[in-house]
Amino acid sequence: MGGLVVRRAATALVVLALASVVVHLLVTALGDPLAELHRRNPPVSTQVIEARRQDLGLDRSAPQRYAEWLGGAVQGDLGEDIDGRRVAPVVWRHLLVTLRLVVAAVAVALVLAVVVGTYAAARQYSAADHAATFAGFLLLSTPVFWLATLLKEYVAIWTNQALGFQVLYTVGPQTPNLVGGFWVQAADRLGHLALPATALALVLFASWSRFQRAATLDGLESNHVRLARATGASPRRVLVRHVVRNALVPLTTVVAVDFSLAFGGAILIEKVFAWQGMGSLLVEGVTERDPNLVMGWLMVTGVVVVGCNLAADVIAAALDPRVRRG
Amino acid sequence: MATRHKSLGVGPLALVVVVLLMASACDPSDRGVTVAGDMDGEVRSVRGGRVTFASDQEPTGWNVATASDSLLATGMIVENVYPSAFVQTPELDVAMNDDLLVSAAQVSDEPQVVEYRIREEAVWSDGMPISAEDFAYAWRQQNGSVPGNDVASTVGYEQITSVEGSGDAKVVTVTFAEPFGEWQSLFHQLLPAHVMSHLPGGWSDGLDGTRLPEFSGGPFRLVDYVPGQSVSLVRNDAWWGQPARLDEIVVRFGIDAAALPQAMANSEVDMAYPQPELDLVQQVEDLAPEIESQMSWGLSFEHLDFNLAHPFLAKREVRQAIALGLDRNTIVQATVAQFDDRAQRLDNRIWLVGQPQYEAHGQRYAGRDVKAARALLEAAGFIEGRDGIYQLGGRRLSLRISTTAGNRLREDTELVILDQLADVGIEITIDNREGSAVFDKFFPGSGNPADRDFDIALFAWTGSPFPSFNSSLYGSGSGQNHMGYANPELDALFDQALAEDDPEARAALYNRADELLWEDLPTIPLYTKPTFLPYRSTITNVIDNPTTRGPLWNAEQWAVRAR
Amino acid sequence: MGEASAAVQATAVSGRARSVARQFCRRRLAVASLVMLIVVVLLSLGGGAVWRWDHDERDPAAFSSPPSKVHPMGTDGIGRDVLAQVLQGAQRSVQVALVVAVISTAVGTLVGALAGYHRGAVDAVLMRLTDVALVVPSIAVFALLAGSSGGGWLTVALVIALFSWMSVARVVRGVVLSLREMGYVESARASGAGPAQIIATHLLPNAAGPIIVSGTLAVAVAILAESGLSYLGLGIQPPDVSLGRLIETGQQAVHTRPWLFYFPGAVIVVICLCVNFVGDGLRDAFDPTTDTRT
Repeated sequence: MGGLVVRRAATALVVLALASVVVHLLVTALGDPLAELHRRNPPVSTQVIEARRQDLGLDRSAPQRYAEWLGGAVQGDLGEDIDGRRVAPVVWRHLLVTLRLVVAAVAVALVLAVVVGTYAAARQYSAADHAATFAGFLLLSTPVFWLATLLKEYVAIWTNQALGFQVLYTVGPQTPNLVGGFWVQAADRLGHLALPATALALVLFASWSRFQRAATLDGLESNHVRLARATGASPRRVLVRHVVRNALVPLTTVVAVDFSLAFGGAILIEKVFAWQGMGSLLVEGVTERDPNLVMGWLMVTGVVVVGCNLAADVIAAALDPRVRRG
Repeated sequence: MATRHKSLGVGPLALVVVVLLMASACDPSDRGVTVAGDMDGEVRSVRGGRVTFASDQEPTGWNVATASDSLLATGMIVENVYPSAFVQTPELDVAMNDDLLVSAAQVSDEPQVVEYRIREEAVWSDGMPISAEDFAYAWRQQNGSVPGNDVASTVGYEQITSVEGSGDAKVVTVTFAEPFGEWQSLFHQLLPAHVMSHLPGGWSDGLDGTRLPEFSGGPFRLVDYVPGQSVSLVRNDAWWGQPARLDEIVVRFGIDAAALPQAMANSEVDMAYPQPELDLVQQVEDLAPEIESQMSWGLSFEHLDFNLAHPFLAKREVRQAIALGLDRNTIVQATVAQFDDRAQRLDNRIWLVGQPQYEAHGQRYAGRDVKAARALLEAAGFIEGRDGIYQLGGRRLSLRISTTAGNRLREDTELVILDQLADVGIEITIDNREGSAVFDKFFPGSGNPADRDFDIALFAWTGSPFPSFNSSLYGSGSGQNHMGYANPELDALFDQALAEDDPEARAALYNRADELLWEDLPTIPLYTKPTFLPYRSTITNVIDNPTTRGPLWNAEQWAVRAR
Repeated sequence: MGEASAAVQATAVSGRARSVARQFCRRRLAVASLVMLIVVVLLSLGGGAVWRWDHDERDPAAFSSPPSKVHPMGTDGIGRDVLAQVLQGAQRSVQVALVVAVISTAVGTLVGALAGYHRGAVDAVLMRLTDVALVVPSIAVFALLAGSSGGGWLTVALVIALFSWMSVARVVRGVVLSLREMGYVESARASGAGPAQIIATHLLPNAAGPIIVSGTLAVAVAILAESGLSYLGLGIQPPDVSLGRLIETGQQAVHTRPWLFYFPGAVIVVICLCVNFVGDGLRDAFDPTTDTRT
């Protein structure tokens, strides 16, 4: 087990290193981050531009810059972006914003998926099962930002008007400079989180509930469940103790892998709800051709993605005796 | 407040922000005011309240006179914090800032000497007087003499030989080596010398990133900067003028036009300054009466630039045929006129519609004359091909037009142009790129004219009461003259205008320059973009300032009325 | 003997295909979706030629007009017919999706089969390559594209494919890993068949189910991926249209000119829904246990 983790972590490092080379080449190919200064009006003097170029190390060759970046990165220093900000705290701040969204969505989606998936399997081919299946497929087929726009358009303002006070918010992760105690702050954050997290959760839920349903169906037909049933355990008890529990094992793996996919969906949802998370950071880095910003973004998301895949492997190994043996 | 004939004025900063308008994100557009805020007396006494202003951009640093941090949005936020000698008015004119100065006048012509008298009571928020030292600091840092200093522009400061204080440093005497007509553009958004010179990083890096300026010389000061989220303007108690009535203006970052209407309807945002687009304007209008809005003449204008290195575009007849074949009125109808019914064709590239100096010089190309356009081409030796497109020497008259992908106004403009020129027998193909990439084609980083990769460019410049920067757009050999246009007569006019200190004479010189440009047609101006200021109707005294100064210019007069 | 076994295999495959087809036809929803999908695809590929408006043609009499008899889906701000645009956009989106599905399935199958068959160093290298492709932000590549080539649809499709073959590779690798130890593979190997032949004639036909299913689902994923990229302003560039671009441009109009937002979105949902139902039907049809379940 420990050996597996060490081996996988070592290869993960190799993957990250390779990815960083690829991305460094990409960002370099995007063009000169200081090109914009050439079209200011009145013109910025060439001395100023050259001084900035030296400041940012852009006068050095690409391999040299990569080596310098790598030297810093292994010590946890992600350098400065072209606006002179330290990259590490900037990425960290954006990561926390996105994590808030992703974690909330994953939690909601997981609970929904287990409940709906299990129920649909237990009542296979019932109206509820068909409805759940159809809803799942519908959500899987909907562009996530289209769905998010609809939620914002219809749910937010209608809800607030129906309740007569502000519950749901449409922009940003919180109200700036909000005065109030813990509960006020918490309510404010929840009110901001509700719609974007719902949008993301619905999409994740769609595939997970399908998965949970299939796993539950498999479980219901397995020998030990038949055995449990034969020994006179109540159907509910069999379902919860034997089937759901076993079905959770593969689901956990899927969730761990999809956690990183959720990041991708979050990028689009952040844009709809004007959150300053990893999505806006990547778009900013790419449009400004900011090498260190994009590299910093890559390192952090890379660690999350690789970490999730690693977690999926480890969970699978820990829960499934066959994998452990093999 | 402003005298009309004074058209010189506010400074390099304002101009620096006059960056090209890229995509929609950083389009500085401005407008002339059409709706006046209500100045009702009873509200005047109200104190308190909070307004949330949504800004698309977030400042990258707080010294807006550096090239790295001169964002338009930042300039608007610090407008109420850093004091300026002269300011731009909502009428697109220039006026002395009488909160800061008692007087400012040119006291000698040879050499040019300007004397500023600072108000006795003018102090920084730490109690130190605002003095000649602060003027001298601005000059020393921006005259290009400090190696490695990050300066957005040295225009004007380069020409100064000395800045001296007298009378308790409240009188500032500025002496110029060469005459500089636009002296009113200098000493804009001053920083306190006594604070800046002790900041680690100094001028270039002292106010970088998260280091918020702790000083103020205006009605507000900056507090509570949360990167990625917001910054607040609160009352500066050391301010000697009329105190701000609001308790706080929260500037929220990163809220784009798409998210704006719902955020305003849902009371999350009270005010914003987005690029107007048809749907946005309509949606905001649907929010009446809770939300009101003002639309004003803007100072940013769309134009076509021809690459004169192209063998066909090098021929004046071809450029004239294009101008004759275009119906700019229809272009306006298909774009800005859809949400601004006063929108009109722009017939001057130096003074814009709404500016007092504006004269229409493009009436020759007011309508459309396809026949004349074809005749011009034929006279130049072009022969109509079987596909209806003219040819010369076996080469078809097919030209690329390039603009920022995703900018709907520009994309629509291109489609109309494509249709109109097809009637003339000119084929237009669309070759757009995303924001910064398209400008790389127009202004290659190498600075080498051979690397310019466009035939016809479509984008915007921002006008100003200080038009001397136009010499870098149209002057022979200038790096920003990406058309490759050269006209010694025009260069001479620009030189003459730069030194001219009589505003009316200067305005006339620039109008003459524009007439020359209409003769040669290296560019064709299309239309100005209006500015759009939606705000919650409970906020009183909101008046848009469509110059680079922006809508926060009179924020100290705003108040929130209880509904 | 290798040839003989290949022939046996081929008969088995065609028999299997018939049985799968039979199974598939039993699923009414999947069949209905397939029919619907074919209709939509035919419409999008040929509809533009039949419909009276061209996608870039402007009706000067109808700027921003709501749905009407002349323009069943309304017009946009410069008088272009939305139905014509949706048809054109659907064509692009379907083209992109098909190219992505074919390429990503082919690449994924190849990588997965090689990795699964050879195991060891080949497997390790290919799987690390897969991980790298998962980690590199595809958005950076699209930004590069949008800035350089102007983003022709084929390029966009190729790049989406470049970032979507990984899941197929993993699935195929899993199947191949489990199959390669089977007796008939062993015997083929013993009779001197090379890796390419074994993979092609013995392993892949047995992995056909998962490959076809994921290839089908890749169509839906690609359409959604293209729409997401267009929403960020990357992906297909104007003057070309795709469904994603249409939604992106219509997004601001959801309140004021809703037809610009809802029609393209609905078409995406319909196409993807059909694709997903077809994929699901195929999955069930390929599943040997389905007979006992239905």
